[in-house]
Amino acid sequence: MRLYVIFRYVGFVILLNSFFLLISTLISFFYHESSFYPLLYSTIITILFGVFPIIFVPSIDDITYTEGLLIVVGAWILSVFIGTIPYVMWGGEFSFTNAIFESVSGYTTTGSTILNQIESLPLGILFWRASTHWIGGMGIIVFVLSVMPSLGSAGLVLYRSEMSPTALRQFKMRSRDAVRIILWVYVGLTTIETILLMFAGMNLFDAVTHAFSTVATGGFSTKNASVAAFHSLSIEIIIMVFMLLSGMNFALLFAAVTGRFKEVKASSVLKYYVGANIVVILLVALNIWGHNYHTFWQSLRYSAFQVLSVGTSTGFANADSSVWPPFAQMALVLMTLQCASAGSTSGGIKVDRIVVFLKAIAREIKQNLHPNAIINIIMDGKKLEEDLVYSAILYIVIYVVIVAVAGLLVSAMGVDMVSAYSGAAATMGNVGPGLGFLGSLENYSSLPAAAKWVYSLTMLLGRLEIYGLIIFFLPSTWKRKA
Amino acid sequence: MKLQYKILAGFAILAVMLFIAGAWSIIQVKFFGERLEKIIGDKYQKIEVSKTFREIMERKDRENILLYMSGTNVNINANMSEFISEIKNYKQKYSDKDENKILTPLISSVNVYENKWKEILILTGKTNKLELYKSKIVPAFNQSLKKIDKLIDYNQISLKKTIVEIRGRARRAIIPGIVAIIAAIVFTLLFNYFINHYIVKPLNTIKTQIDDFISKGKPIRFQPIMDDEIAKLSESIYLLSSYTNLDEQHK
Repeated sequence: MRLYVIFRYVGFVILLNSFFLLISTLISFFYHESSFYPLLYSTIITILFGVFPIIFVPSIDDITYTEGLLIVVGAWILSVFIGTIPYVMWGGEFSFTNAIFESVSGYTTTGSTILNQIESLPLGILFWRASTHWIGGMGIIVFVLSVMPSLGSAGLVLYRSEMSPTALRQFKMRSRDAVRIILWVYVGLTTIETILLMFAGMNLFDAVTHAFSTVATGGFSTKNASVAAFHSLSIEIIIMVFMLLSGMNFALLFAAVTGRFKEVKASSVLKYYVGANIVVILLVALNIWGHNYHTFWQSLRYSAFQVLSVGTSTGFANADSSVWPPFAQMALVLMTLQCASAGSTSGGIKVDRIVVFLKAIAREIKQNLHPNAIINIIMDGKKLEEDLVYSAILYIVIYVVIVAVAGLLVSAMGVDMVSAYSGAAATMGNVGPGLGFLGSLENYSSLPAAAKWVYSLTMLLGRLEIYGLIIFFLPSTWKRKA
Repeated sequence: MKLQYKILAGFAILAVMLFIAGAWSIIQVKFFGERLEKIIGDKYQKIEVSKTFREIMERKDRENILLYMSGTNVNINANMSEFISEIKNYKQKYSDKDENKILTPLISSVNVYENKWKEILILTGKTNKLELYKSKIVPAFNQSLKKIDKLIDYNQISLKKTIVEIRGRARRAIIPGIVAIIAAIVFTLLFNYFINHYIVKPLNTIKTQIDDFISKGKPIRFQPIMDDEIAKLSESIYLLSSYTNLDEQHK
């Protein structure tokens, strides 16, 4: 393994982080905040660490797939540590464990927080929190590739290492074009949402940070009560629309923007994604109507926001869903497991795999009826390769097992079962809020420190789609020759 | 980039890291010391002043009752106005929003105490003086004392809070040092890796190849990783070995 290659490319990622740290520092400087020096110091450290490998190691194009994978996972892990520095240095509620949790939650776009007093944080730190969402949402490496297109053939390996096979299937174009599309859609959605939120009454800072969180399907808010603090239907509608859009495959979004509606119409994943959300919103609205809210419209408003927030793995809240009836809560848990489409910023099992899984079940039933028939799984008019079907089913199984194990570990630490398991599902799916005392308007501060570490791991596992992180820690990976 | 500059860059980065850490710690400790002195000084002074309020209140009451019982004329206005203006001075000088919520009722209760004295001074001769004092003055006096005690408690709690805050600030002063130490260690390891990979390893390879050339006559084949001084050295050694080979062939 050529360590120096990994150092060089991880250096670019560190520099990307330092750019956002610099903006946060400038905000702190402008507002004369106590976070100025911690942010400035963090910026300088990250710049120095980022620049050094780049000046020492010459440009290398021929990186292997394993090296690419190690760069991607290494970049995520290192980013998490970089994200921790300003929090730890600023202090307040940030102990080391809390800072790690907040940083992992930021980069993985989970949006779970350990903070009780978000509104007392300096703006510079709040901006940094939102930035970690924005960097992580697009995928750290894809972000680097989009701002540094001159990485040559190494870029292709890195792109393939970062994107999951399910997402790669959706992007049928060259990697450079795919990265360009992701960037344009990402920046475009963020800009439009910021402007709309400002029209709806948010100030510039809140609009930018909430747009960062929405488009990254993160969930960090600048308010303790999340979006509920704004008491604005128009803000909720804007955020709902952008949560739904951000949960869509970016290639499809780009196709829609460029007028290729045929592609959009043909997508069975998109049909399932939109359909499932509408059905669950209506069912939940009917369930909470009369139980928690007097009018159907009121129920629909809160149901739509909470279901979309969880179903896209964003995690914003406009109501306390932990007081909803059991059916509504279970529906939210199922949406937490499923989440949105591959090729979006969303986490979770992803709709694409669920569709493949459902089609595989349907095939199994047909196969039992016609044992001699050769039945293929067809998706969007094309036959799905058997290894893709197998890997999708296997992924779902491993995913559920990890959620179960994490839930078990946390409940062994004295946390009640509902909170422990819903927390495991919410962190693994990079959703954020769970149930019980981890509900939509609550936070993760009261968890034992060990539980925060378990959830930090599940957040990373969920974001890196399990295998990447496991491969990274296998000693045999590091012994492999380039 | 030349090797010389790369090594220089490494040391420069390490120096910058340590400089920032040192400067940061000095700034934080200086700031911390100044703040500590000011905060502790202010809080301590406030506790002392609020304690003297209690003593003054008790003394004034003793004076008033002695004069009253002995039949001497009690100038209650002159006696209490000085005390009230002291509380007002304190309010102006030290108080914050929360403390004002204690000080305003305190001034009111001292005013009530003063007014009660005025009331019983008019009634002199008509009823039992001691009974009047007990029924009218004592409750007002106790109320004022309660308010003063509340002020003392507030200042003591405030001092404790400040100590906790100072502990937090001390943590802030320590953390940059810890971060700098960790960063410097990680950077040293990284720097060591690069030095080893780009300088020591190629030099060892050159040495082995020269040894093999001398002892076994193996030709020198060296592929430089970068365009730096070591690449030039290996190129020169390669040329030298080629000339030596040619000489051998001529012989």
